[in-house]
Amino acid sequence: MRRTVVALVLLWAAVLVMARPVTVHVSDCPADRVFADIIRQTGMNFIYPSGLLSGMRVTLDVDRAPLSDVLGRMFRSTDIDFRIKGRNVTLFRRPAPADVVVGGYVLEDSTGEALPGALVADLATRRATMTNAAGFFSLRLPPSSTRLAASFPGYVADTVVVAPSHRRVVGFSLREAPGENMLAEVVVTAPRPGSTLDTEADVGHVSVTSDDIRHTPVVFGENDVVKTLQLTAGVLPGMEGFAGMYVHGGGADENLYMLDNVPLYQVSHFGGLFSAFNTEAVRNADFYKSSFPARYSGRLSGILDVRTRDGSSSRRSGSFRLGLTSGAFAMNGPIRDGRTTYSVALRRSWFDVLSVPALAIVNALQEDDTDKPALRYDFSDINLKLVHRPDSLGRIHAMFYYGEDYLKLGYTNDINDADRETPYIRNISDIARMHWGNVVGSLGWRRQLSGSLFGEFTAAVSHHFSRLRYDYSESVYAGEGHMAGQISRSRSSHSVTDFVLRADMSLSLPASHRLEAGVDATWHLFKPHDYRSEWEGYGSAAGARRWLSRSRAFEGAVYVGDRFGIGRSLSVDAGLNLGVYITSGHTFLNLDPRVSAAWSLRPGIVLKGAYSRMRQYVRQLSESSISLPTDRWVPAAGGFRPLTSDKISLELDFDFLSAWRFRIGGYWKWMRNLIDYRPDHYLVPPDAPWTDMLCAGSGRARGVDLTAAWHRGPLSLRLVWSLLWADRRFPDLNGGRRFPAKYDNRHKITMLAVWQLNSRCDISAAWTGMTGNRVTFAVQDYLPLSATNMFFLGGDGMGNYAVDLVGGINNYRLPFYHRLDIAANLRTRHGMWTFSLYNAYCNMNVVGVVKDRGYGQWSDGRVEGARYRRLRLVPVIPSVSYTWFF
Amino acid sequence: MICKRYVIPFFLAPWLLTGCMEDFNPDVHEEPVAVLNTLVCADSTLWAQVSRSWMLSDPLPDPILSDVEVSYAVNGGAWLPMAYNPERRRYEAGYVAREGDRVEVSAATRYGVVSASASVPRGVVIDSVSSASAVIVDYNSIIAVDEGQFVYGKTLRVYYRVTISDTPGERDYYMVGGNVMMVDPVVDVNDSELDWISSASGFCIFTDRLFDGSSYTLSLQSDHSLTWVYPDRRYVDEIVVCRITADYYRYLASLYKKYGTLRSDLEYYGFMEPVAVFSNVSGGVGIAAGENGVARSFDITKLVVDAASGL
Repeated sequence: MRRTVVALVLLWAAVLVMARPVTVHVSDCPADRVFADIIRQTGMNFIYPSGLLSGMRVTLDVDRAPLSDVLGRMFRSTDIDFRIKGRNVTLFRRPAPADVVVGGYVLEDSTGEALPGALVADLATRRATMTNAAGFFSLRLPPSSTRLAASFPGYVADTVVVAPSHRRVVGFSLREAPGENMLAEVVVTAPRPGSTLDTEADVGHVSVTSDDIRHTPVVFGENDVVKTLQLTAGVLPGMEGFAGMYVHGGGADENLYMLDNVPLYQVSHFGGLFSAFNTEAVRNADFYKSSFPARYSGRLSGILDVRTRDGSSSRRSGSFRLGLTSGAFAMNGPIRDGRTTYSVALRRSWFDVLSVPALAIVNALQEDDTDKPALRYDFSDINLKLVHRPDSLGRIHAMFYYGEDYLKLGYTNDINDADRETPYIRNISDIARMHWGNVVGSLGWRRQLSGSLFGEFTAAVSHHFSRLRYDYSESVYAGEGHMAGQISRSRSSHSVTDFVLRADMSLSLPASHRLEAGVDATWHLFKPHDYRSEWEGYGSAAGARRWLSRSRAFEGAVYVGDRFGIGRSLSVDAGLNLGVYITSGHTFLNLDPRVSAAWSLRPGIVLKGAYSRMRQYVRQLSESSISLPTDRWVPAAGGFRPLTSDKISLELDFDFLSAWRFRIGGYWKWMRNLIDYRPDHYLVPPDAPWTDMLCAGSGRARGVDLTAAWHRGPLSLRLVWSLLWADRRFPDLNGGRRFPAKYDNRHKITMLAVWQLNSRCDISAAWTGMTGNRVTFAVQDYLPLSATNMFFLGGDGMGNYAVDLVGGINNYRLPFYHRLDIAANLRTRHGMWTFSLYNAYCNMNVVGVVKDRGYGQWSDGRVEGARYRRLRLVPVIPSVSYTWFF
Repeated sequence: MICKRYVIPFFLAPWLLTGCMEDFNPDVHEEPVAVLNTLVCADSTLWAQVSRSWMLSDPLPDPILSDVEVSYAVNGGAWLPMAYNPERRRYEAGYVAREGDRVEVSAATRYGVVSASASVPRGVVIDSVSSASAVIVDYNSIIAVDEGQFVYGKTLRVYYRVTISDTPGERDYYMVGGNVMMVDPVVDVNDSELDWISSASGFCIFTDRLFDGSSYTLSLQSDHSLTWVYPDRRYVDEIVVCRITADYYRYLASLYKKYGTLRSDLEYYGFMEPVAVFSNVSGGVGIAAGENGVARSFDITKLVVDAASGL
């Protein structure tokens, strides 16, 4: 009873206090003075953190109102709340409402194609993100209504008002901005790129669009993504005119080329003159060379992730192009209601269309017993893609790629004189056929699974093959209606077949974390060597021989990475890639850390740093500096550990005078477990393990890259300078001494200018200069053992024989290399003319050095005509092509 | 093979068709290196050739060194001098090498002291040599006799079978010489696919890897033109089968790889890493090789004359 009375008394007291009227008539008065008056009126104690009311001013006009009402009105439009307990009034700041994740996509308005790398920003909070390779994005926003802006270079920016608490999916369709310079970024009302876009923690990342590729002047006008990347910092082209990519001192096979998330092995045609990526099929490409996201593994130096077009969902369109070396056809469009689209791109060379019939006519006119050459070459590739959009958040695709090269060469020689008393008939055929290429098939599903979760799933088969078939036959009339002869046949092939399963997820978490995780499994079937030969003839016993080597390997990876911000100026991307590689008798488990960070020192200045460890489990064996079909892919096996690299990079990005953008970077890379041919590899029997031909070593590379870009209106300029040192050390090579890498080009300078004259015409020019490649040049000769001369040495016909004295590997540097390429695109009503001038001022660069041993007699002590000679190739090459659009 | 003429130019066609060559001075100076070559044969006198390497721009082109001290030792015995023979431009000793001898040679030159050693391998055991058959073939042979007149030349191709017995348990290296050619290659040198396009119908060196310890029959052939045959001339086929040292085998294999295959053209223009010819000489380069062979001769005069007269 007593307790009840006390409680009632307290409750009555509280009611009295709360109900005690308060009168306040103030206008723009400091809050603390208002509180002083309220305390005097009520006798209450106000408890609150210092600074809570700092700067707060009150305008209030109440008359004998309860304290709770007065306080409610005072703090109505603020984030301050109060609690009255007894004689105490506690003030506190209301917790911020939880962010809401808004997801969506950015598409091209006319075709519905995704725009990867588009910037999506909240104009209120200045939070921003970029779309992924599928054009999707997710962004954490406060629940209150806000304006989102999407932008992409060359397109008109778009903004929408979004209430995240009600709308979680946002779609943007951006229209192309006609007349805009394709290299310039469109200025939007989003925060300056220096404070958002450039703070992405990617070092050395380059995004390439199909327009970038078309604006790169190249030989024969055959644009391709690899030749576009050759103009960027840190990438060397290798052999003149070929689509090689040597990234930061690495080898050509140390780059991972991916086509819609599937690895490709053969990425070139005709020895590397053309790349396997048909520009008509390419939507965009991402290239990584310094920091590598955790989802990538398998190569040491560079990652090129090429995505192909999905096809327009609104209308059918296409093009047909005819150039000096090849023709191409592309078409894409919707099927039925536009939720399903297709994209087709074909390309084929047309040398053989003329050469084969011409050669047949020439041969037909030849007399008997004349060598009639058999020669044919062609390359082709086809990209097919079918995409179905069950809803706006997901896509299912089926992709097929086939690229091949075919070469036939040799001769025939026939005599057919059947009118004689004794017929005289003899036929000789000496023909070799080579066929090499890639076949890829994949199924994929990508979907925004929720506002914060995105997933991409891929299943694929990739098959790389190279076959060589050689047939020699000789038959003669042996009387009485019989032909006698001999034959020799050989069949050689090598291949790699991959079965791939991948799952990649991206999850947006609180506090600006974006988690990326996934799993990747690849079953490799290697057939590095499959050789068969048969022979029989005239009186010798028939014979046959077969050598076959096969191996299997499993390569898997689980990765996790987190992109997050610390404060407003620091972005971090940290991840781990746990890789496993299982081959016969060996299992390798590798944990590879990846970390990169970007620190915005001030608006327009960003400092970045990265460390990456990469592994490579397959290797391409090649003895030549050009890409040949006989170069074979082999797994790390037979006691050779996976190739490994550790790389640290630093980069400073800054804007200058609002028109210039600079990027200065430095790196240091260490490579281990590199493999190469042993000096005496030719002594290894053909049926011995191919690993017996190899030896292991290490390498290192370091350098500085500088890129300066400027644009104003229709004119864009880009200047690139790269400084590089790269070397190798193999205990079994060069006497164990360190030697320079072949493409240890000390300096590389490129200047690229693109001028959009008007809406119909643009001109681009690129000047490239670089320190010459290195070659192993045997400057000296010496006499061989005289007894061997007749067998192996051709000599000079005068009895003088000599053998190269091979000194150090890559001991000689070729002269400085430079050339200017110019291209122009002229749009007509129905198409576009493309004119290009490769090596415009016709500087024929030195590509090799030879020794001409001349002639003469040793006996009289004179050697005449002996000299060193430099081989200069590639004059000015004009080309023209026409593309008809429909 | 003829294919070789097409393959390399094909891949380099866009460039070779427009290329040019210019003389230059590499502006690289390398000191000459002493070269020592010797071939130790059973039942033959010892000899050694000493020379030096040279640059093409060398004003003293004759590389033979005729004024150095060259000495030899047999089976670890005393070192004895070799004398220079100006006619044959090499150093010679009066010692006749025998099977199993281990010979060391050393030369003190102004470019350094070079030395090497080689052994005389065991002789080859030939079980049988026979002429298997002879065929008249047309082998690339239209011959103009007079203007507008042609004769279809013919060739007598003679096949031989040579059976050799190999010693079990150790790697043996062989070489076939004479005026015959192997048509049944016992291929040991690892060929890439490119090499097979251009290889001749047989190597002349091989190992016993495929017939270690057992007998093996080699198929050989010789060709003789029947267009002009002189009855008073002797036609003799000589078949030489040798056992050679491992170092000699490596040396010949490296020469073949460097100069006898398709890659030779690519290497010549610098598109392939050059092969370093094998050397077992310390202090310099060259080869000390050993060989022990047996020769068989076949007088095929009657065969040739009869074949020609039957045409």
